[in-house]
Amino acid sequence: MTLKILLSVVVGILAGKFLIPESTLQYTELLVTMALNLLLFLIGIDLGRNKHVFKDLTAHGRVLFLVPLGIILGSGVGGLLAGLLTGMPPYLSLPISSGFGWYSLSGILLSNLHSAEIGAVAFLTNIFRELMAIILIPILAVKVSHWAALAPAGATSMDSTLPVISKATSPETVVVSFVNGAVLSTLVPILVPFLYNFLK
Amino acid sequence: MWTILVFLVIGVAVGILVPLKDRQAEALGKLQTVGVMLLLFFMGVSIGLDRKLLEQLRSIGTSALLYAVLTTAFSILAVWLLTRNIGRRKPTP
Repeated sequence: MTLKILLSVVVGILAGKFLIPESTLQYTELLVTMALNLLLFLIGIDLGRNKHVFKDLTAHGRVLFLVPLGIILGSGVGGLLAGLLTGMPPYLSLPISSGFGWYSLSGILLSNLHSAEIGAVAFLTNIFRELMAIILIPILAVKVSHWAALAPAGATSMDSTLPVISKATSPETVVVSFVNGAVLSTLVPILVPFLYNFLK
Repeated sequence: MWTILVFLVIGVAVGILVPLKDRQAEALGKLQTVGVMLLLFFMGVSIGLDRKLLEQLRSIGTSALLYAVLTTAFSILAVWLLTRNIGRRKPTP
């Protein structure tokens, strides 16, 4: 699965760079949305067929809180460290790391709050994070745990990386993944401006 | 966000109401694999088409990569620490 995933992304990037004309950008975005909606429908069918999902989940209800908490804390620590290494103060490094993979929003927010350059760093950071998540999810699901596989995905665990998570883990994890994504997506537009203004 | 939820909920309803045979469920899994590959391909295409992004990659690529690697690594560590005793699922290959 990891190889198929990696190939799909790399071939896509190369095709976009060398083969496909730029005028098709709006259509590729439409195709991404359509593919995503179809996949969510299919993932839903899987969930509906699996009668144990919600019973399993009541037994491990704590993960609904602990997975997003771990991602928030881990992203903060990682962001502070990256800030130290690149010479950026916490009022920039913490908001950059609080995009949790949602590149479009965190990029726009920081462009408006601070500068186009910091916005671009946030945008690119979270694009990299999403790409790394796509590659790491299947590996973590096998080598560490299904919960840990959600960590790199961050806010994207309810949309763009959910199909990969669904393929690599269990229906129960898919539900946790969706909730985790919804919680973190709600927090991005709150945390990014708050951390910036509070620490500045 | 709402569109996604609508498609997911319709899927769940279909999954509950329409009983699938094992062979059909297997086909569903294959369709998902193809769908994931298509999604990732088109995501790649959007990145490859973004000329501004490739320019930025040269100037701020290293900082952004450092942020991405460290936030991802510490997120994995923190989630693993917090959840390591919950529902020990044998990872399925």
